[in-house]
Amino acid sequence: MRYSFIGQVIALAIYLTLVGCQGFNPVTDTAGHFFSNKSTMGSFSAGFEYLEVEWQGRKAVMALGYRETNGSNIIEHWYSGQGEMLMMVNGRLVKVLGMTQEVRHVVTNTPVWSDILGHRLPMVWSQTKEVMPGYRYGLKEYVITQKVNPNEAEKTLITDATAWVLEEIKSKDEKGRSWIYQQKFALNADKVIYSEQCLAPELCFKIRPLGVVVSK
Amino acid sequence: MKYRRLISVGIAASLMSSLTQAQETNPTQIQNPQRLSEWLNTQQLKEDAYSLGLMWQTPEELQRQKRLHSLLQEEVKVLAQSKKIKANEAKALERLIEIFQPTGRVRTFAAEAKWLEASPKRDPMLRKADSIQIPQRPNVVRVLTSDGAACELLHKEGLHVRDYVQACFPKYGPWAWVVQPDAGVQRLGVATWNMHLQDQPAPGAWIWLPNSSALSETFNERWATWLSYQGVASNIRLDVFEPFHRQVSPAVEPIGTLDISGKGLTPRATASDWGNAGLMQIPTARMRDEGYFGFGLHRVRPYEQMNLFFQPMPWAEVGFRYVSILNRLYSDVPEFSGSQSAKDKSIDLKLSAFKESDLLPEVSVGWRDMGGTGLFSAEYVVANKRFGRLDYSLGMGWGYLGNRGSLQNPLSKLMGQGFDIRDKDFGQGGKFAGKSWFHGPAALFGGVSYESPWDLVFKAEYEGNNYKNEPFGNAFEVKRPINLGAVYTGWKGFDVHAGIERGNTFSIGLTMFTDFSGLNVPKVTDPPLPRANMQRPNQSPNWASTAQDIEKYTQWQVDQIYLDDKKLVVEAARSSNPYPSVRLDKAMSIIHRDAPANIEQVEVQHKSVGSVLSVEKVNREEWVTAQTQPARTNEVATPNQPTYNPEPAAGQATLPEKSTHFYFDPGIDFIQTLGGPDGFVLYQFSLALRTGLKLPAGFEAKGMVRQRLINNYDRFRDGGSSSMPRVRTHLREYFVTSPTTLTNLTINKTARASDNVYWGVYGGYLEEMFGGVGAEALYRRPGSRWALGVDVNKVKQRDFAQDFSFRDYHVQTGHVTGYWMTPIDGVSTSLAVGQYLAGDKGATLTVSKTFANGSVMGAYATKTNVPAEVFGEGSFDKGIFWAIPFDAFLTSSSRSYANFAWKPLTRDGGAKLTRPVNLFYETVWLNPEVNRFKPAHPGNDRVAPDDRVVPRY
Repeated sequence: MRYSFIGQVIALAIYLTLVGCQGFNPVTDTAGHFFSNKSTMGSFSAGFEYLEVEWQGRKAVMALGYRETNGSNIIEHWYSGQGEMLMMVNGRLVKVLGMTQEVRHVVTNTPVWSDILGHRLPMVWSQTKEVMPGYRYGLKEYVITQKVNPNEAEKTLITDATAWVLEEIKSKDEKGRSWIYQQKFALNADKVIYSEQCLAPELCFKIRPLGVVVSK
Repeated sequence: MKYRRLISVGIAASLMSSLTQAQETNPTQIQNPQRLSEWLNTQQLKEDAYSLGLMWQTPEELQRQKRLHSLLQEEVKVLAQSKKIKANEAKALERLIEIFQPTGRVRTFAAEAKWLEASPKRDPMLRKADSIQIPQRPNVVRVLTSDGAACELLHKEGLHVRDYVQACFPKYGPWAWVVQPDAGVQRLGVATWNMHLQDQPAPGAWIWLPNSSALSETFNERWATWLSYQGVASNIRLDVFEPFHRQVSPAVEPIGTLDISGKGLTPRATASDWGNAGLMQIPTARMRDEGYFGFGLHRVRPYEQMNLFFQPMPWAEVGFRYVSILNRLYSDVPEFSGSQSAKDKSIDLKLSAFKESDLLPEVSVGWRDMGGTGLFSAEYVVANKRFGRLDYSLGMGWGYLGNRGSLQNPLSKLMGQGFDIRDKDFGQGGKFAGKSWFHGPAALFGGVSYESPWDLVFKAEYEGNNYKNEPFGNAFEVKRPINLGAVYTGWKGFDVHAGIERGNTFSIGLTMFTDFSGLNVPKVTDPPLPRANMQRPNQSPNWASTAQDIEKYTQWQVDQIYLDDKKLVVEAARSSNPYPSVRLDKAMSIIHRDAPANIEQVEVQHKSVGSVLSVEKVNREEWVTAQTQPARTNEVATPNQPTYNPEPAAGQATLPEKSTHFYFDPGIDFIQTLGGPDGFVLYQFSLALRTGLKLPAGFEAKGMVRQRLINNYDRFRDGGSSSMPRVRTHLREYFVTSPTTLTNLTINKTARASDNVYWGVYGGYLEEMFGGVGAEALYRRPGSRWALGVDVNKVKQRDFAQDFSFRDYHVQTGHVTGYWMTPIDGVSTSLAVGQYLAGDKGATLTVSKTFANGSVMGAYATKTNVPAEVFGEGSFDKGIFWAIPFDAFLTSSSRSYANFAWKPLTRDGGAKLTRPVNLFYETVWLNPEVNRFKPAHPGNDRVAPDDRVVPRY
């Protein structure tokens, strides 16, 4: 190597200056994207209510579109900027659209939170789902729900939970194999303030309501 | 059996007596224009409303379907008249066509109001004459055969198409088409050899089961698509079919631990030690998906192989490799090659003879090391038959694969005893040793693979080589002629291989692979595009700012924007890029955002070689509609086709005239040379600055400066063996003499002489090694698949420092080049005949394949009047190249390509000049397929279910 290290540094500096002048270089943009530590969380707008959703290593916020009450049920529709929608009833996912796995419809006899919390023994119930892809319409799931004591990590994670509920669900995966998974709900006054819910073995969510943004 | 069937029919009939009637769901006529989401929000849908079967019917689609209906009728008549199908089959099809009338149904996305509201592009805009129908949720699936028989069964989650088909009909063909209630159509395998992981039929699905082999796949596809217009199966009474019956659905059987039948299988051919689709040492007849590009490293002592394999066409696999013979030296001269082990280069080709069917296996014919030194060369014919997850291979090999010699060559009986003798003298290598192909003793080989459900493929094989006559005088002990191995396939794009070969030697390997045709990265670092909406600005914008934005989003150079009454014309230069239709959409987003409301038509005039080559015309209203709502018919949208007869741009120019235009493009530059004796990989990374200055009268100055960063070309020493003028083998000197080099600096002028003739002249420092002057002329008709070019050049060799000085050697070089874009999917060829840099005369044949995402794979060979012994090792110049649009793998848009090339050796014969002007590429806007290229589908695992593409098996 007959040329100097300083020469290379100068050349690199000239190059970066030129790139900077241009302001838009696909290679450096791409490198910057992969090596940057930027959060994928979008910006918040005052007056909107948000939900933090984490899945497949991606953390995003979804904004509340609708909240309706139907009897004792609170129905919420949450939207992401990428065209994804979660519909939740009393904090449980019942419809998911626009994601790689979708739940189009659920027929369920889910017990209400107060019943679960007031029951000493595990409650057993079932639900029938319409799941995509694969046109798995009529997918039957059997659920065992029970109140549990949180472990230390969970206590630290969610400090204001008054109760934790654990569910074990017997289902089938895309290939028709038995798939047993767990879901967790942290509650405060019968409201879900944190949950871990799954749609498929490779698609589980950690969901936490963030509340209404008062000011930016 | 007969009684059991009768009983089951009786039970089914009693269970489903209510299902004879078609489920009455009257369509609702739309009275006021509104979005589907709005309409859904106003409906009191019943509990059993089945949104998957929602039918949106439009008058436009009804008209289209009426035409298709007539065409279907005609097609059946033609089939009947040509006696391809029997009279009763034709009658049954005619009756089915009568039953299935046009409906005007347009396919919709998931009909969930609250979701559609947030996705306007998926939310149909309903008009007054449209209708919407939401059926009751059905609980049946219907199987319909091409002879008119219909069978109805209760839907059960977990049952697959084959389960329904088996329950209904004792005999059936290998393929069925499932038509889902949402109009999704898939062809699915229902035999043991084509079973794979499948979508289930949803309640209300049709299963189309052709039982006549005379019906082509295209016909069946079209027929299944026609069924998709009908909505849920229960929309039509069962008793209109003759004959019809109901059947009890079979029990849902869980997939077994081993899943031998392959219900959960996604078949994929894995690499052999030699890189091609195969077991371990032996190849199989299987092919990878079109676009496969794999790099493999395998080691079975004393061999270490580095393989690069491609699948340019579904029926052709090509590859090349280096084999290191670890117990032999590259040469006996340590000063020349040090302690590097011996290397052998080889090129492989495998062609599919025919595909697997019910009775026949898949068969392929292949050549290993077809033009090398012959050390490992072999030919083979191999057949594969799959039974669920088990895939059996049986083949016959000649050469290295037939070294066991257990069979007399069967070809010698058919074609003469000459086939018993195999010529092993390959001289300098590099020749296609056709006279020895399929010659000499042969041996059988075979094996089996089991693609387990646990991301492991197990392999067992018996090979046709006994390792007694290995290259370089090697011979190995063989404890067992059976090889056993496994491949871990759980990582995307990365396989790990391990095994025991010859009964006493471990083998390990890894294969990294990707799908060239599927490369696509979302443009997350591009500036966000303005969202299209129906509003238009009332005032004119700052046009300079509009032009700047168009340039930013499209990478075009906007020379002028004209306003001509209701028309806006954009003059764009340097506008060729990998995905023209994407760029046009981006330009339209800016134009629609900025252009005043009275502008209805937009024209983009693409300028190159001093002339407008093509024009893209866009109707603003239609464009906005397409951006903001789904199409009102199922017609597949075709890209905007450019026209070639531009009217001279008229109207008011909005930008100041520029007589000059300067541009520069900084980047990182990478040069590599693979496989020489001095170092396996020679490379140089440098900073590169490309600049250009457009001058008046059509002149352009262009240049490129490199600042070397890292380089190991000082290890390149093989260049002295050439007895020709050293036009390329001074590689080392050119790449190490100076860290800062002027790669090129030229002044050029190009122009259009007439409608079909273009010319260019250029002079200066043309490339790293040569400078001088030259001229080119090209005959190319707009939209034509062929072109003819001539170039002549007088050049002098540049100094090694790549500065402004020259060496003594000079030469005249030039070629007549014919270009042909074949009608075969993306395949292009060119043949150049002329004089090369070393003064040798000959021809270069280039063949390339361009995938729909713009990625290119290609190969070339040059044969000149230089004798093989003068040319040196390799006998003649040849190589392969590939190019990937930056757009396919970067997060920001770019108009550039990443280019890679490999040639076995750098020699002086057959060397072509790199010219600063190439009229064929500069007139790319005349290519009839210029708008064929678009970003690849992101992959089914990255999109919502409605955006998936149906995989083909």
